[in-house]
Formats: sequence, C-alpha cells, structure tokens
Amino acid sequence: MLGVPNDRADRNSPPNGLRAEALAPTLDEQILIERIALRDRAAFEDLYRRYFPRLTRFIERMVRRPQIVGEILNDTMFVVWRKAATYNGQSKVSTWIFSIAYRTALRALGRQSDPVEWEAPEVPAPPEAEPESSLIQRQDRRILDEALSQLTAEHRAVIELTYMHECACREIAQIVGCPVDTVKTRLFYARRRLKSLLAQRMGDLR
Amino acid sequence: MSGRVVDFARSAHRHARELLPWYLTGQLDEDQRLAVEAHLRSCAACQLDLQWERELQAALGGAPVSRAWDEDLALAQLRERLDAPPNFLERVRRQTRIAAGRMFDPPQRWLGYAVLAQLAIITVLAWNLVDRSLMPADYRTLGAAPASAAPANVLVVFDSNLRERDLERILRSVGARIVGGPNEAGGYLLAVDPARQSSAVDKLRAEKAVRLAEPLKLGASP
Repeated sequence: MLGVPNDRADRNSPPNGLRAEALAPTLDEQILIERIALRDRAAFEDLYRRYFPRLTRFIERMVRRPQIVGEILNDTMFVVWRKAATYNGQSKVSTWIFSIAYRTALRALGRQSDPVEWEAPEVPAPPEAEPESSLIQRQDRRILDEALSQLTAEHRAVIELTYMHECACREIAQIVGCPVDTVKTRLFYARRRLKSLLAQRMGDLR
Repeated sequence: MSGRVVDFARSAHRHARELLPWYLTGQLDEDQRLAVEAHLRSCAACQLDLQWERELQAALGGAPVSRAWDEDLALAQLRERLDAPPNFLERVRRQTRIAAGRMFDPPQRWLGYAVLAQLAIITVLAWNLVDRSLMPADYRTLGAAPASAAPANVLVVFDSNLRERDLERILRSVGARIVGGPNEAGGYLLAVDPARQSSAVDKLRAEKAVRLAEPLKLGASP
C-alpha cells in the first residue's frame, strides 16, 4: 500500500471491519475495481477520491507542470474506468493505477514543448532547521526543488515512489516497466545527481 | 586471496548503497535487511548516506505541492467524460492528431520525413495522371491543322525516286521538319533553325536526291 495518508479512505469503509487488517485496504480496492468493471459509478468515485491526493502529488512531482496535472490525472482515471475489467490482480491496485499514471504522464510530457515554469510556493523554513544542521535541512526547500527540476521525469518518478509513496523496488519496477536492477541503478544515479546538485548549490551560496 | 576479500567488500558496499532507500522505508525483505544492517555496522560512509537519505525523505515530505485544482471540480469534469457517448470520430481525430504531432519527435523523426517523401512521390505520380488526362491527345489526323507553330523557311523539291529512308536521313542532317506540302509541283515546306537557314539550304542542294532547295521568308505557305 502506498504510504501517503489518505483522508478519504475511512469515509467509505465497509462496516465489517475489514480495514482493521493490514491487507484490508488492498482487498477493499480490488473489490472496488471489480465493481468498476461492472460499471459501478459509486465505486469509481470512491476510488477516484482515494487516489486523488496521491496521484496529484506523484504526477505534479513528475511532470512539474501544474497546468497539465489535472488532465493527466483524469486521463489516468478514465483508463481505470475503461480498463477495470482487464485488471488481473497480479499486482496491487495501487501499482496498476500508478503504472497507468506513469505512462500517461510520460506521453503528456512528450507532447509538451514548453520549458517548465513551475515555481514552488513559498513555505517558511521549519523552526527546527538550524544553521548547523544537515545539508538538506540547512537549505531552503526551494533549493531542493530546483535540484529536483534538474533531474529527468523518470528519475523524479522513482524518487517520489520510493521516498514518499514507500513503494518496494519490485513495485516500482512494475510501475515504470523495467527490471528491478534497473530501478536500483536509476535511483542510485538519481540520488548521486541530486546530492551533487545540492552540494553545488551550497557552494554557490557560500 | 586478499583481492577476493576486497572485491567482496566492494560488492557488499555497492549492494548496500543501492538498497539504502528501501532499508530506510522498510521495504526490504528479511535477507536484504540483514545484509544492509551487517554492512552498516562497519561502513561509516553508508551510515552517513543513510542519514542523508533520512533528511532527503523529510525534506521531500515537507516540500509543497501546488494543488492548484479542486478535487470536486476535477471529478465533475471527469463525470462529463464518463457520461458522454463514445464519439468514434472524435477519438479518431484525437489519435490522428497525437500521431501526427509525435511523428517528428526525435526518436521517430525519420518516420515523419519518410511519410513526407512518400506524399511527395504520390503527388508527382498523381499529377502526371491528371496532367495526361486533361491534355489533348498527342496524335493528329492527317486532315487536322498543323499543331506546330514553327514557320516554314525552306522550299524543297525532292527527286521522285527518293526513298523514304533517304528522306529521313536528309531531314535529320539539316535539322529540318516538313511543315507543309506537297504542292502541285511536288514542293515541300521545311522548317529549319532560322540561324542555320542558309547552311541548311546549301546542304540540301548538295544532296543528289534534292532537285530544288530555296530559302523562304518567314510565314511562307505552299
């Protein structure tokens, strides 16, 4: 299960207490998909609301163009609606949906020719960020965002899935459609590049 | 022997370094987790890396996401698509637009140019077909008016025993074309290059089979 908190998830919990078990959300989502395959609109809207925050975050981090995030998200969920009957249960529902979002986002990026002009909203540094603390904490979040913008969309996707959605390496391989070892290598190089960019930026600030 | 130990240590270090993010998020299986923990106990570099990973995760979690749109509004827009009857033509148009738009993307740019070249060839072939169908036929009946606008500028009378083969040779040798005749006296009007009119006449007069060759003014008729 992806680790981003879902404030909508409990609202539609079944009364039989399935959610008390660890795998309950996954089973619950599989039932939703089965209902969606039977054209159950209520089940679809339930799933849509569950995934809206997660997909929004993932897609925005990956494409960095707020103006197309909504379109990609709805295109993704439209595919879920149309293809629910093809879901075979061999991966988690979340893995299946994120793989659709990943491909949809890459296709949308392929159609874009304009440079990214997204600027992170102003957020004050947290009070615990002392000058003597670590490399990342010491810097403005904006610097981290600038560094992320220098990575490829594929690298940002792997970073986001690993750290924020807490996907296992095997799940990420299914989402992005490549071997597990490639995911490890891709994340390794993404981290190395990010570290280098942050160090360079720190050098510039000194 | 020591080389093998060093190789093993390097391999373990590289392996642990790759797995650190998933060690941090608790997504490793038991064997992998134990291997990373064993390496961490003896590797200061990986301990520092792990600390960096923690900070990165915290920073990413705190980094803002714009959320420039509303969930209810987005869902309402999608509902319209779900309710809309499948429009085949619109789908085809969209797919065609996407395919055409991507034809010149770098990975398959050759495809775009290949299609353009193919279109150019088809256009040329089609134009040839249309052109020929619209143009008048390239043959004439004997009674039809001469198609050529070239003026006659040489009058010639051939020997009555002239063979067709010799006629052709003589005409070719002076670059002449019969544009009129024969008249009652058996004379033919020839058109030759005006600049070479006199030399053509001289050549014709030198032929045994030519009884008469005279230059004419432009626009003469038999």
